[in-house]
Amino acid sequence: MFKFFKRNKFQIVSILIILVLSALLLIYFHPVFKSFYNTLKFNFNSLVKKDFVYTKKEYYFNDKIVFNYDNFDGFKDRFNIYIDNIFNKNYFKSYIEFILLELLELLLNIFNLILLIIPFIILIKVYINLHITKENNDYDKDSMYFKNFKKYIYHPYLKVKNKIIDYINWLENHKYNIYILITILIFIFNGFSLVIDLIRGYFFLFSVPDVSVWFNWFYNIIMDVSPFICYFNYKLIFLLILLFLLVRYKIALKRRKNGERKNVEYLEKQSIVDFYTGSMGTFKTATITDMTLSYNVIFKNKALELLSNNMNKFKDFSFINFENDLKEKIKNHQIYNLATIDDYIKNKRLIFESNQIKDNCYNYDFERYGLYYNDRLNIYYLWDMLLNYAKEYFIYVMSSSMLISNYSIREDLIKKDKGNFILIDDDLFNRKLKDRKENSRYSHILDYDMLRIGRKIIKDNINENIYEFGILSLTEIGKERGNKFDLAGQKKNDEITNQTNDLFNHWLKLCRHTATIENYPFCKVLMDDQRAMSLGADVRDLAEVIKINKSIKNKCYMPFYFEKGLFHWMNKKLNELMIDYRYYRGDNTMFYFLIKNINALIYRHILNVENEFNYHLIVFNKYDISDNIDIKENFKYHLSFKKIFASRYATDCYNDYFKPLKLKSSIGLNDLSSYEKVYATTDEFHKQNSYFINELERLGKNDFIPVDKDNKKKKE
Amino acid sequence: MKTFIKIFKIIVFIIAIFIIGYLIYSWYYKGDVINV
Repeated sequence: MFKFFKRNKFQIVSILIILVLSALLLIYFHPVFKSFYNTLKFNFNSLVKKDFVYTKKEYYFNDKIVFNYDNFDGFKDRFNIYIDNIFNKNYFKSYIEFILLELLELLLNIFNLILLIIPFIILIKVYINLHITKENNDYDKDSMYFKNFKKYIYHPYLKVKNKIIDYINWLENHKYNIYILITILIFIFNGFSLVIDLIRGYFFLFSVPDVSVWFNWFYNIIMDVSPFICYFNYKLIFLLILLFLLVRYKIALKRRKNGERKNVEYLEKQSIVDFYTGSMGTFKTATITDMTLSYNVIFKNKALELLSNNMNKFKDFSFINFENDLKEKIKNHQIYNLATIDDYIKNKRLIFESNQIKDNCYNYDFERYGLYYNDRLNIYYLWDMLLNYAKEYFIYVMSSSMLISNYSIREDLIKKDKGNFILIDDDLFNRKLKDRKENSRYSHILDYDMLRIGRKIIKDNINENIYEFGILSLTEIGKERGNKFDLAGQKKNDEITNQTNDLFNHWLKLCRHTATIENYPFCKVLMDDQRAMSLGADVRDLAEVIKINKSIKNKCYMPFYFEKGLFHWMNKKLNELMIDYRYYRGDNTMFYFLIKNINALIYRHILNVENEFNYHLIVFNKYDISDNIDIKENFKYHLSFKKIFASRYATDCYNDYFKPLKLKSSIGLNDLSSYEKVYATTDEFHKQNSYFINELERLGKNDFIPVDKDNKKKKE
Repeated sequence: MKTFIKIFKIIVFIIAIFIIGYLIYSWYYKGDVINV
């Protein structure tokens, strides 16, 4: 029995809550039954009689909104007077008077409040200073008050809190309990009557062009909501605040989505190869990573669009059979790239053409529905369409990432599969953190040999022919490819593979050819470097060079975020207070506990808003290399924190490469010798191993040496 | 330009509140009004 209770404790709690609520309903809100019954009767009667006259129905609540004008004529008279009043200048004068008096009163009240608060603030400040500066080294020792507080209040509170969190988590998986609770609450506050009246209004009322009928309907609606308003009364202000927060949050979500939409609009207009330049810290790599993620979504959506178009062309073809066949072949590794798809479909086509039966054509009744489709530009043969469909399907459903990069990028498009057509969830913002590990995939390691048509670094490299389609993200490309100064001395005939004989540039010029399906290239190359000139002219001229001019940091999508300044200020002040406390004292007191918790709450709120809705606005324009000018057309790119800073990439991606070298060092910065005083000694200068100092030394020893003599000396 | 737009928005907001206040005030105010 006990075990049963323990196992089903949350269900029992839910039932108890529902029972208690129902009991409350019976005790306090019994008129709701009568009202509901009356509403049903009222509306049903008028429905049966086909009666368009809408009169006021009876209400059984004691507390209801008092309406001074319960018929339309009375209201009309009052409204006429009201309109007269609006245009009465005496009314306006008295309004101004009223406003000024109210403002004056408000100012006086604020002044009084400040006068009242100042002594308290001084007292609190003195107390805090006295409390903090009581120096001690009682490490982690709790004060007496704090010990008791922890024992009798804080720990039991945490226990209850954890239970409530467990219950909420349980409710998330048993949502019917929430639905029952909400239904009861709606019923308590006369919601069902309101819904019936609204439906009746929707169907009947607007067909009756009589304002007095509308007035009655409006009166009934107000009466329907009156138990809710009367019950909450002044507490409604809290509900309004909640509503405000909710609206603010929803607007922020919408703005964030709009930001991403604008990004996609920009990216869709761009050509195949883009080269982003800008000085350090202008979010170059962040920008190309963000773009890579967006292109992933764009390509998936484009593949889906093309798939749908093909489905429309041969609407009677059973695509599910075809897809299942493809799925199986992909699983068996019979199909693993676009070329193998080409071969596979050609083979299938030959089988069909040699023996034209339904079974050879995925059970498609081609005799009835036809094998050709005329789109007013071309006549499509079924098998040509299937070839395109298979390629698009392969791109759409491929289980690994479409990204190839020289640094790691995390992407998390979720494949939703119920055994039929696979759907891709492309909303990169709507991801649960706890599912990140299972939803994430990382970009493929870029083997530069697959981008080389000519000589390769590794002979017969297994990866050399892999690249057909995908999104290439190459950071610091100038360091890899170099410019003409870097490559001076390299020749095409060199034995060793170098930048001039690997034909990377030729590959870049032809990269879209393998990736094009139905005239759409599923290929994109994004590169970045600090200077455009760091990259050789051939590659640079292929790309659209875009210069990041500035980044406007930490903008926020959320409107009315007016607590920002106050919260940041409070956070800073409380941090200072906590650090001061920790400097003087090592023990734990109630005061420290309070400050710590308030600060943690404030910090959490800041993170909740800013990590969710902050963004950097990257401003860039196209850069004409030949004329060395910026084309004055500003583009603004939104770098949303939620998307790009959610462990997408590491800015210090070369860190692990340097780590072993640093581990080899037997000394650290602490062991590095320092200057003795403001004027460095000659020995100290020697320790710099500087070209400049060496030059000074050399010149100093020889006084003034003419150039030719110097050369002679060198020759000797 | 941006500062101007911001100031303009604030002014519009204040005027809107002023007008809404007046509309509410003229509905509820029942003091002595001298008809001129």
